[in-house]
Amino acid sequence: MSSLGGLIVFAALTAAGLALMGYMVMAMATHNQLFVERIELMEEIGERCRGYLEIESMAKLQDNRTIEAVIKNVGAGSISIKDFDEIDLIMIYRNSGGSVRAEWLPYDPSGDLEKGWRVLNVTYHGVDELKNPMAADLSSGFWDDGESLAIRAWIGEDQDIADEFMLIMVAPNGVRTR
Amino acid sequence: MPMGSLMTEFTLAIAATVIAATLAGVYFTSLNQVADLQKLQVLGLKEQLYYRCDIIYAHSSSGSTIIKIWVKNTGFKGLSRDLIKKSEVIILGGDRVRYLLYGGSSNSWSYKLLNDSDEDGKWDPSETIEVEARLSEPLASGDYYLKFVLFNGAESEYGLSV
Repeated sequence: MSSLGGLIVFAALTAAGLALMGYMVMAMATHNQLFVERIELMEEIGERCRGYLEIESMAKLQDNRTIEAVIKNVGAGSISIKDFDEIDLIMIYRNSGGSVRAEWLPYDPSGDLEKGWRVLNVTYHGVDELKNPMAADLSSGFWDDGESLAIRAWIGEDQDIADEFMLIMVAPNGVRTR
Repeated sequence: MPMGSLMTEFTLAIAATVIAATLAGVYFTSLNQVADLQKLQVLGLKEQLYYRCDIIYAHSSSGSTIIKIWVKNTGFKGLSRDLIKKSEVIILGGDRVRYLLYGGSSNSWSYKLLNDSDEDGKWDPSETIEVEARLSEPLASGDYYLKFVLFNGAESEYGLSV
């Protein structure tokens, strides 16, 4: 092959090689970005699926419309008290008429609503919590892993809890009582 | 160098260049398609994750025409009123399937936002709606299987015994 032909082929191959390398680098960057996004999504899913809440004890008070319960956070992550309004509490009970009822109760720290629930205290193995303690006015603090949340919940005056009842609590991240 | 030989070499060089360019084009197109497919896959995954829900509890009783379903937004994005209304409730059991769309009459469902703390009317992540499914006929005793399906096909299932 003459020098002209060789030169043209060499130039063409060099250009193609350079373009290919550039494209490969871009493709690798794109793939890397997609991979990172996938990992992040999986991590977010993992955050939402872990742990559970465990009802340690519950008791009905004498007015037959109020209950107190202690619920333990077992690996569900730290839940800010500012997010407590996103916690679901459903009380299922049988009233004196024999009907089974289910009511979703709103978080009501002041206790003013006709029905609702509020926090009594947070403890760790029976003693005051040390990690991220809740302020007395409930303006700050976290319900952390391993800590037990004592609550009081009440239903409307037109209803009563005759005998058995149960609670379902769901944390803001979807973790629920077992 | 004779003119004929030079022309031959020139032709061969052009042919080699064209072949190389064609092969490179095919290769780049294939790579592009793979990258596009991966992007679509991630987008689909994102949409499935962004909009998700979970039935916390459902309640009804024998002879009732109403089923109450509490559904939590366990996704990462809020749903506007219009998107919520595009959801569907499916009830299997009693030897039939009931398919309910949003509405105000019987054989439809409606909802209320329970803890809309920011009062934006949207069903934000972690918030819960109370769905009231109204049936045209009362429920007989037995086991039922409820499905709440979001606009994007994401669904949550729940077993209900009345």
